Amino acid sequence: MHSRHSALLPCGLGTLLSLAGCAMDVAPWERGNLARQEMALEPYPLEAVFRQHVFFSKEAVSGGYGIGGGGCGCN
Amino acid sequence: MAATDQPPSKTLTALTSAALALPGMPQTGVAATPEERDWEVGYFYYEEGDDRMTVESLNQSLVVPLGDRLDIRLNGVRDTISGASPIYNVPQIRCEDGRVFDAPVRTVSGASGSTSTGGPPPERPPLNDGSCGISSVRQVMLESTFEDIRTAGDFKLSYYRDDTTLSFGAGLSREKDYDSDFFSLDLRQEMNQKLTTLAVGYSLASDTFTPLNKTNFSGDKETHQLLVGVTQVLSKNDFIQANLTYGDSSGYLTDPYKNVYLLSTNEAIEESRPEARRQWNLLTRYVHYFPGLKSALHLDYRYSRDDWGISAHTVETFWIQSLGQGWQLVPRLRYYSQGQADFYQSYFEDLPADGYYSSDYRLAGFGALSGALKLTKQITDQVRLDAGVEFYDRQSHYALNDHDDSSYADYGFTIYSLSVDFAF
Repeated sequence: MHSRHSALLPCGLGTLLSLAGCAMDVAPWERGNLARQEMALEPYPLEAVFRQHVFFSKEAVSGGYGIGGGGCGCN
Repeated sequence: MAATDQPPSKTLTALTSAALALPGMPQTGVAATPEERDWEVGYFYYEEGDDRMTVESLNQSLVVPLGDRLDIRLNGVRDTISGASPIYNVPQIRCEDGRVFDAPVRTVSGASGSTSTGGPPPERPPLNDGSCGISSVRQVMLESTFEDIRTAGDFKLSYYRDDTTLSFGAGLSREKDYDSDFFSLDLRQEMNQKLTTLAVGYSLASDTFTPLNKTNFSGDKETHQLLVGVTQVLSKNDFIQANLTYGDSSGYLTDPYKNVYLLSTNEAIEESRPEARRQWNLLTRYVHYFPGLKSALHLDYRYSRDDWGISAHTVETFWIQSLGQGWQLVPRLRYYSQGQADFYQSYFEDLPADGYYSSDYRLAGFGALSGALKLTKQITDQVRLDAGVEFYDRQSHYALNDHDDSSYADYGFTIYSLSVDFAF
């Protein structure tokens, strides 16, 4: 059942982070662009892992993009 | 799969991709349905300027769906690391008569390689009589005697049910002198007709450092991490994500290959860091699609803070431009700025009373700018080829945060990358 009311619930959350205020009701058939490969949060995951590893080794702070993974004796 | 469900859309895959990814654990897409089969193999070459360190890295990531409810991701990495890295900074003394020389270094702690101290005079002149003083500092490198291989692997098993995804991952990383074992658990809940996704996660890493320059010594370290995240679709062309992560490390956090120079005794002694560290990161990521341009804009901002006195800002943006016929061009810019750790100094007159001191250039205040360009080509429906290059420039004066000058540690590096993705 397609209901606009259900969109109200996360409005608080939406307002917390959204630039556009309360989230719009985007129907499933309108989500084609969102599903594109270049719209993935991380379109190049292998490269992202390597880059984050480099920054982790060379900068004092790290993380934020997720959790998991191990340490290294990186110099 | 229930017939009444919406056809499996990759939307949420896109939305939540890598929401929980970290070094060693790529996580592309955890949607309410298992991911499609995919194998990516990459070669990365990291090269610092001035003939410092180089790293060759071979990476692979395989995703296989296991029925309608499960998938597994298997990652593997092999890094070959060689070259010189900074161990401490020696003050440089300038005298009125024009002489410039390094402060003498009587002993260097734990240095297994040769150190180049630039031929210091046997005794340094008094520094407070007005004729000679410290004018700058110079980095001393641990020459390219060390070479290491890091091998790491991990898996992540995800279970999908309705709007919920539960994942369990574990892995290990091995080096000559450093072992790490880790696991993670995360839960993702789609809400509001999949326009909102909540994520929570926990991970634990248990590390053991067995420094090559020490005998009969090993140090243990434990890191707990927690993540809370929200992803929200804003319109049919954009969405936003906010992640809050908290990390708590305890144990042996010192880098035994880093020394500090002590002016009072003319010795380079091993650094000493606190036994605990707490870090917070707030990451906001925004992605927008421009249908007219067939382009996607990615904009990330991360604010980081820890209880060592370091705060940092990271801004990153990249643009994926479709060029037609399967080609894409991806320019990228990143800016990073960090303050210095409370216990950081380029060198020390005397050891601080609290017992914590480091001259590790990574704990200094600095900024870094990097720019990258990447070209990708979808060769067939199954195969995509990526090639890219990234230049990174570290400069003390790029920092926004308050800090002491650390320009003696400025350097840069380049990353070349080549990868192939098979959707088979």
